[in-house]
Amino acid sequence: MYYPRRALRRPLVVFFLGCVVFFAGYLKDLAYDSVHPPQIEVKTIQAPVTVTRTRTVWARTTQTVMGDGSEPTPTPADQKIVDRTEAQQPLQNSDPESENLPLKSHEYRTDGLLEVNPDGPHPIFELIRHSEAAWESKLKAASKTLEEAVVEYVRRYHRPPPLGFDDWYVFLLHFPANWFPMRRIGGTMWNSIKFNYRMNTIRFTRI
Amino acid sequence: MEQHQIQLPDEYDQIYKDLEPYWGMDPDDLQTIQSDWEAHADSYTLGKDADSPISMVNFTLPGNENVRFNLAGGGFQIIELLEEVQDFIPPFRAVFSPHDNPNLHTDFELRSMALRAADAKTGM
Repeated sequence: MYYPRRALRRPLVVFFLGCVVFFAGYLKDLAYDSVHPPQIEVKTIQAPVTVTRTRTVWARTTQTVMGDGSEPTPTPADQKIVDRTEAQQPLQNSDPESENLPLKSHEYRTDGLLEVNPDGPHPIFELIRHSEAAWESKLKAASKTLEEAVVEYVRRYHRPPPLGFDDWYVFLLHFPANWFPMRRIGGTMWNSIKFNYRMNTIRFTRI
Repeated sequence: MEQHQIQLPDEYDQIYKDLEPYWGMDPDDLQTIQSDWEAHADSYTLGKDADSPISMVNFTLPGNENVRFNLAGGGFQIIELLEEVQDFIPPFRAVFSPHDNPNLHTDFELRSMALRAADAKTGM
């Protein structure tokens, strides 16, 4: 058998021993891991959680126990109520009628605010009625021709209308509504809002 | 008018309120003030003559071309907006600032003086 040359023997031995020393560390690790397998406890939010919700329900039942006749037996508290209604009897003929008393009116203050009378109806109905009537009368009183519009302008603003008022009025009379710039701007805004709304809906449904 | 759903042909209160103080000022003064403002740093002036389209008639903007076009962008948008109605607009010159800060301040006293003068149809 051919042995390696003597000059090579020492470097080879050193290299081999180096490998043993180097890998011994890993062997130790392997031995350690096999004895103590990794048990890493990770708490996740998906961990099952038991929640107990307790709700207490309170119920109250009122029972009226009749005596011999149809009249409930008056307690001291009831007696007070009876006394009060009797005291009011001379003023008001009967109880049902007191519920049908005419509703009180609200107070319209000079500063434009409405003072609500708690004995009146909800003021919103009255306010809607008044506003609709005011709008209708404003529309009815609006001028129908250029001459009327000029007279109205002078009446309101104490000076003749500006240069080009006739062109403006002709424009009001003859141009179709969808040409009106305000409407076009409004339409643009509405379209962009619609787009955003749609986008939001998609995102929302995806979530 | 009703068939086109255009309502309220008589309501110009807000426009009138906004313009009212200027009725109390001398037109010559107003024109001088206006032309002075055309030299204000970072400003551009839109305007038109009797029978010309609306255009940018003057500007005081930085030398850098990119910055200049950036700042004047709003002016070109206004020209575009008014293109359809420019034949109906009388000759004018109007100075615009590309920035969003107010340059002209007023106070209650000045404003009421102008309103009184406008009411009396005399200059301030």
